[in-house]
Amino acid sequence: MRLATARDELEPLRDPLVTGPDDPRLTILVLTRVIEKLGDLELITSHEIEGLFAVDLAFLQDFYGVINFGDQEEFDALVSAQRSTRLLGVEDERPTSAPSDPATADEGEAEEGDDARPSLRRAVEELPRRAQ
Amino acid sequence: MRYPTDALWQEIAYLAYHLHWPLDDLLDLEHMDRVRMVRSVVSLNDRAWQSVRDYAQ
Repeated sequence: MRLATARDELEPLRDPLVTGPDDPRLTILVLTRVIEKLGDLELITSHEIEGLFAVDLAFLQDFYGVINFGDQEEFDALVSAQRSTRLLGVEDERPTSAPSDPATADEGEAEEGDDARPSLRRAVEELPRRAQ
Repeated sequence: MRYPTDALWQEIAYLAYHLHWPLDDLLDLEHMDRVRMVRSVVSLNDRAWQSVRDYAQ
């Protein structure tokens, strides 16, 4: 992903499919412009970005915000947060407190905000295979 | 996630007014470069006006 320019944010507003500045499609179009490489895809169109899983799109949005408007601290926080989640079949390296309290391990799964997202991300394990 | 559209146009107009750069060049500045340029022009303007005020006194 390259750094964004004013043009990257203004040109999509002229897209006839965009209904206004709050149209969520704007995000798709902006990301389509600035993402230069995604896996081994040769051509990235809005169709590819629309087809991303929600969590992956959310990460790209966060990444866009951090590299364009954030500082080094926010970038490091985003990268470390991404590394610490159990993504795409990678084992979780975070120390967990669950083993010390096995009774609540099962019932607490849905309530724990941090763990809810990684467990959702496990469902997108096909993504790297498709990208490779 | 996106930069406020009104602010974008204000910054571009400000730079165009002071620098007389073509619109295409301004549109192609990365966000932080554009903001840096705006701050620099503001600073230069302040210095110029301060010189004028000092001279007038």
